[in-house]
Amino acid sequence: MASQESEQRELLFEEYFFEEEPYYLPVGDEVEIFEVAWKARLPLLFKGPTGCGKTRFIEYMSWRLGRDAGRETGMPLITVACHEDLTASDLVGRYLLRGEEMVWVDGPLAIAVRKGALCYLDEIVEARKETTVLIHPLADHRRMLPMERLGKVLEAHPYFFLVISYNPGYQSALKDLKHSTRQRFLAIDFDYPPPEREAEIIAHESGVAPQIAAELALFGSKVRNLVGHGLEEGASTRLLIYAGQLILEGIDPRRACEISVISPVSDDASMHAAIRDISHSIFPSAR
Amino acid sequence: MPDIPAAPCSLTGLNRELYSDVQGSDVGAQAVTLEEVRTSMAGMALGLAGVPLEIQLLSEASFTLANPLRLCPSGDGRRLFLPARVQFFQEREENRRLYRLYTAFQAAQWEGGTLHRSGKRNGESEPLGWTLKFLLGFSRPMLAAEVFFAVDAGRLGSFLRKRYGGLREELDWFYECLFSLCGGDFTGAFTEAVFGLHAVMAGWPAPPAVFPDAGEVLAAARAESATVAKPGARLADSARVTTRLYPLFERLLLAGSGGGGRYDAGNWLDPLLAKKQGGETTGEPHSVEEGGDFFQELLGDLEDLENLEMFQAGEDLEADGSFITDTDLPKFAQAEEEAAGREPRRDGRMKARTDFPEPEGKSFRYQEWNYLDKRYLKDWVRLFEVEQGEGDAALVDGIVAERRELIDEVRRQFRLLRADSVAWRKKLEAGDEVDIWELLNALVDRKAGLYPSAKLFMERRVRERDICALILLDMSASTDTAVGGVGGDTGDPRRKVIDIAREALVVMAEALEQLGDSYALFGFSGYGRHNVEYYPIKFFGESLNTTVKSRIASVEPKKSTRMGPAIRHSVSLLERRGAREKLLVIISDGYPQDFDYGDDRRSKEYGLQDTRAALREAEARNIKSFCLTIDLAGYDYLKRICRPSGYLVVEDILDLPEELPKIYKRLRA
Ligand SMILES: Nc1ncnc2c1ncn2[C@@H]1O[C@H](COP(=O)(O)OP(=O)(O)OP(=O)(O)O)[C@@H](O)[C@H]1O
Ligand SMILES: [Mg+2]
Repeated sequence: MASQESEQRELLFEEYFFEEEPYYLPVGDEVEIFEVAWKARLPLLFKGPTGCGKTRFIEYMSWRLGRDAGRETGMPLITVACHEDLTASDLVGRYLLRGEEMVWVDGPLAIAVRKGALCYLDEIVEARKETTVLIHPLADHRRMLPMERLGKVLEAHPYFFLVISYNPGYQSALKDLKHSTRQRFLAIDFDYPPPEREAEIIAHESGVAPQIAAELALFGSKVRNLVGHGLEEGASTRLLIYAGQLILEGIDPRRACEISVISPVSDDASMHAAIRDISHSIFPSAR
Repeated sequence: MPDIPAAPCSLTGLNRELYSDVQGSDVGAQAVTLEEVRTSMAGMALGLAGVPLEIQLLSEASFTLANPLRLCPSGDGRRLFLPARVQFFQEREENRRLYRLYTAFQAAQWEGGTLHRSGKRNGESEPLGWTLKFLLGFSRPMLAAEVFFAVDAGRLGSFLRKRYGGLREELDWFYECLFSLCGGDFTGAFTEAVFGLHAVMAGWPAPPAVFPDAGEVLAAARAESATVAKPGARLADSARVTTRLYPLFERLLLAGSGGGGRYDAGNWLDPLLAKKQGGETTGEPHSVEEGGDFFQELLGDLEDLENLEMFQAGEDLEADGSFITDTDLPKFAQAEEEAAGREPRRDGRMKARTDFPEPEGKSFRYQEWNYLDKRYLKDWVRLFEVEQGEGDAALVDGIVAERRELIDEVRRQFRLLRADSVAWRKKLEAGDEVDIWELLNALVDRKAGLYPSAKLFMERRVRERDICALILLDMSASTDTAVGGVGGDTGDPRRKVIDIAREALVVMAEALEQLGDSYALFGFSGYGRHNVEYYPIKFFGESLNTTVKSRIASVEPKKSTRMGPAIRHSVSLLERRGAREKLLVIISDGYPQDFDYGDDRRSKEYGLQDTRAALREAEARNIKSFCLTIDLAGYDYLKRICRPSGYLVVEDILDLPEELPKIYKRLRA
């Protein structure tokens, strides 16, 4: 692949913010809700299927709130992808050996709390329960982070803001969020945008012509009708954008759908055939 | 279906092929069969329509919906009518294309709004409700239907052409090809006009008319076609055009029959003459009762339809939505109650038998998921806990002796499960023991100048396998089927599905006793939504004593399989248990079904969707469920209602006693 010479940067967590406005097309009243929640510093929970714009939304909001906070740029955004082995000290920090000395190094959550940043804990259910409870005092009126190793509690910076996300779709019930956790958050439900909006997003993100973007959006909405009838999760906006990118590079639309949607969403041959019939209904054969 | 005179390479020849369901003989290499395309057409229809449609043979469709006079069939919003086989065209690809087009047209009835003005009929939603009511407003409803469905199909054709680039090509092929076929094989002006009507409405130039009278009618139709071809044309537009064209077609039809068959040979147009006068039907020359199976069903229910507002010319029909709102539902539910035990309304529907005594015992009400309306019907079903009879406990001891080997093997494996329940938790920052592998990694990292991980410890946790399991057995009448000799060697012809299931229960119970998991055994069957029966065989607290054994001995085939409520009741029993992990294993031998499990007895979709909803409810309550079936068709439907690893089709029923413990082991892992 011909990659452009781009300057690679390494950033400290707190230096990661947007200088330019990330593209985000609101679908409902989520921007308004986020701003109200932010004003009241009420933590947020994003629920929604994969690739429907949750991450993009928080990136956009971090940029937007930056001005609220009197900055030229966006607010710093610290994202942590949660997983099973994520421990408390991965979030809070630990002592490291530097030469002869033991130095304390803040974890990402502690940095956000100390410096005042948006902290986005992605796929929170993946984390162990004992890790999840760590955010409880941060997510209620106390707004503080106990740092056991240091024997301290850290009071949150006024600009600290906590957002967590999860995808209820493929969560096994055993891995559900505890009520004591979920009931500390306001929840915004995300879903794939309605076709016209989604077409606009696809056109913007992939650069394809509006006509093709509209067809891809139509395709996406039709494929999603199969969810629950042998399809676990529908085609995400992200995949439709990928398809757009392939088409833009000259790949035949039917083929592009095959690679970027049909095969990724399912392993079942009869499901493939059904989705293929839908894609062939929408996209004319290559001439 | 009437015999259609046809030249082999003609449009009517094509239709004759499509409307027959002859199997076997002279299948060309180019032939495509329904079996080949069934799942993908079902998926395509669901994708395009957003509503699951059940595939049925074209030859089984009622005349009003699909007949060989049409360019393509219409559906009723529930069913998708497809031919058993297509081999008319030279290329396989073309034959398959015909399936796609038929599917697209019927799916478009949803997407294009034909079915959006539903009504309620006997408490059930009827997607075609408004249309049927509209057609019944004509003096010859069957004829009106012929005109309407052609006009509406034309409207949907142009809708599809505009919306779907891929289908556009295929539709163009379709119209072009059909017109090249129909050169001169019309049996009369009426047939020609009806064939042509669809295409003209879709904006397609029909070839010059063979019969001058047909040409006149089609010219008039062309003048109306803009109404249905315009973007956003709706059902009301089709209705409007139908009203305008109906008199022309009536004249054409009467000229044909009145003139002693001058135009249209054969008597197969006769049903269209059926006449209805002011709500009553008359018998000249054919009444709607004789002619139209579809209307015939309807006439009995006309009172309900009478509640629908009637179309009036010039009235604003743009608004979508049903005429009868959900708030009316209780009223219908009540009507349904009162109508219990009534005569069958249609051939596929069984008469509600009343000779089953109302079961005794505690009863419970459960909701049911109506996928058509996308809502739960509250307290729809009544489930009774019915005492399971007692049989001869010695029968169970006999099974234990006979299957000693298998039971010992299962017990041995289950013992290993117990050892399993001690687990190491790794990657801890503090713990009982150092994890040597983590330590090694850390040392290597340090040598390499990297930050070593501090998660070096591990801890032995006796996983408290606090498990309770409920095994639910389908005791429907079909378990009476004999299995003997199927596998060859185990040939006792008197053995039935239920006997093998009993064996499986015995093996399972024997093994579970020793494993120490808390478990219960229940059976279910019943008849109708007011009489779901749930038979306790072994409660959670009970041990495998003589009473339990005698209940196991007496499991026997009963009535239907209304799976949803049985699952819901099991869930509520499991919910009351304190255990941390809860398992529900369902053993069944076929589709969930009951005579009133959904509006249409022939449709399996309702039962499937309700079962699926019940399984999701279980999941939401932290209950892991598993469906085990011995029905080979299970491959098709379990995939749709269960999680990918939540089902198994046992291909040979005789394997059931071995498979059940294996499944249990897997579930427990
Ligand atoms: N409303 C929107 N406005 C702009 N872009 C969007 C929008 N929704 C989706 N996208 C596009 O879809 C892509 C995927 O979205 P994103 O990465 O935010 O998904 P996500 O919900 O975070 O998914 P996951 O749960 O898998 O992390 C984005 O990169 C963006 O291009
Ligand atoms: Mg994301």
